[in-house]
Amino acid sequence: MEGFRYLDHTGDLGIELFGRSREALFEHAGEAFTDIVTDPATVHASFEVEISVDGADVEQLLVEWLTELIYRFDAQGWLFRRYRIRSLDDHHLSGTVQGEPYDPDRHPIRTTVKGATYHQLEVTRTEDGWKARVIFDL
Amino acid sequence: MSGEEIRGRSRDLMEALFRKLPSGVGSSRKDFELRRRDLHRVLEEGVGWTLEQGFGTREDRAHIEAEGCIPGADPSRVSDRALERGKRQLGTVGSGNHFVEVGRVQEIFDERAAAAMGLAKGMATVLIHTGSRGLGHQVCSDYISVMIKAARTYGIDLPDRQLCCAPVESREGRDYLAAMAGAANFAFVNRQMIMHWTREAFSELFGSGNGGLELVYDVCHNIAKLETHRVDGMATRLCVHRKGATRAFPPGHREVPERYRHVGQPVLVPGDMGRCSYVLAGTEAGYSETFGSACHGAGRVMSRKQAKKAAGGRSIVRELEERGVMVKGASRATLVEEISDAYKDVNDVVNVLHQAGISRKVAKLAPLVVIKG
Repeated sequence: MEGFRYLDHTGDLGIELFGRSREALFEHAGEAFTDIVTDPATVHASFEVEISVDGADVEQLLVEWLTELIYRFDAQGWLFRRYRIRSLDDHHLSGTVQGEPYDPDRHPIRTTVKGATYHQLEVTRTEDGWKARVIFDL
Repeated sequence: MSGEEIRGRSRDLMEALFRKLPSGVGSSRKDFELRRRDLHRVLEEGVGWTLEQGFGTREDRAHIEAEGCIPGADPSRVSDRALERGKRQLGTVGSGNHFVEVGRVQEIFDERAAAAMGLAKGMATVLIHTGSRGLGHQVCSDYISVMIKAARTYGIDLPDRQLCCAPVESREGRDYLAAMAGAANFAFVNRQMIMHWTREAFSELFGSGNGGLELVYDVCHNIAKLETHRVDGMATRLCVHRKGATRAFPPGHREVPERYRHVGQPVLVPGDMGRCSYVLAGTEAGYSETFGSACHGAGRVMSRKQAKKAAGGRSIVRELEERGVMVKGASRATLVEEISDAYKDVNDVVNVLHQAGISRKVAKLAPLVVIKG
């Protein structure tokens, strides 16, 4: 499987991610975040932004990556449609994201996210790639 | 003012509140912009800053936990990112379970405590439930990274990394408490500003100074505080972490405002937007058994996904209207996630608090108008 799916969680919201590579896994994490917040089909890839984050290991990197996207939306009003990870190792990630500023008339808000958590966080290797689980604090 | 007066004009009031109170993503008042210097003062001084700006009154201050300022806040311990997230969100309700609810006192359980709190049957009430907004969430995200490292430094074995921590007296612990106090002070100011604009809306519709609204109590939730409690008979300094909880101090405690000292601190337990909410009073039993804490809401019973499914094609607004509750939210998604069915029945939850003696029922509030972020 490739992409993401929602997990049922009483208090908050969880996602399960699948990717053939770690890069794909992180790109799907970005796509899942956009899908949580709004309808991705309404977001135009009009602008490109460079993003890089650091972490002590791949799991922390995943939380930091999502924390960065939450911050860009909550503080700066950015919504992204396309995610491209250029380089990714155990401690560093850099990539480009494409999107546009949030427009209340065009972007329906589904849920707002307070933060990405480490609760039950997992990034694991599978037979055909990578799998992860993240719970968001809503 | 009575609930009946509200009922006659509930639609007007709902529209007025919705206009005055910024709710929904990215919304803020056009006539209010915060400078960076002021944001630092908000974090350091809490409600002291708000009063200087003309939001709220001195009498309000006496009815706010810690008089609206947790000491020891240090904005330099708060990241630029957190400040940036907070800057545009001061004076906003926010989404999720946050709300402003106008209601009326439906039932009184404890006449003496209700009288002390100025509550009488049929009287109009306002509940404001919001907090430190994006600023607090970013402080949390930032310090989780710090605490994961700290747990390693201090050799603390974690069953789940989200439970990361450090000794209270460590540098990391002190930094966090200074940042958290800043976030709590931001939350006091946020609620005070929303209360001010709510008063404006009431005043415009019903006349009378301050819109006839007097602050009963403003209490924190989801916060850690350094307090002294008895442990095994010994007075012990503790860091009491009230997560999903709120403070409930007993009669006679010096941190309970004078007006309530003979009945105990007012404890606010909001329910969901369709049922009701409660005002309780703190007790001695609660003070010794739960370090003076009670739950701060009913708690969810359905995930948001389940709630969405349960709401299906239903018109939540119409359903509530039929039950006498007018509701307006910035998005349908929020209303759907917050349907009554998604929450435990607050009546059951509060009865447990009451019967266990953790807090005492004082009054039950029924909703009339609800604004969701």
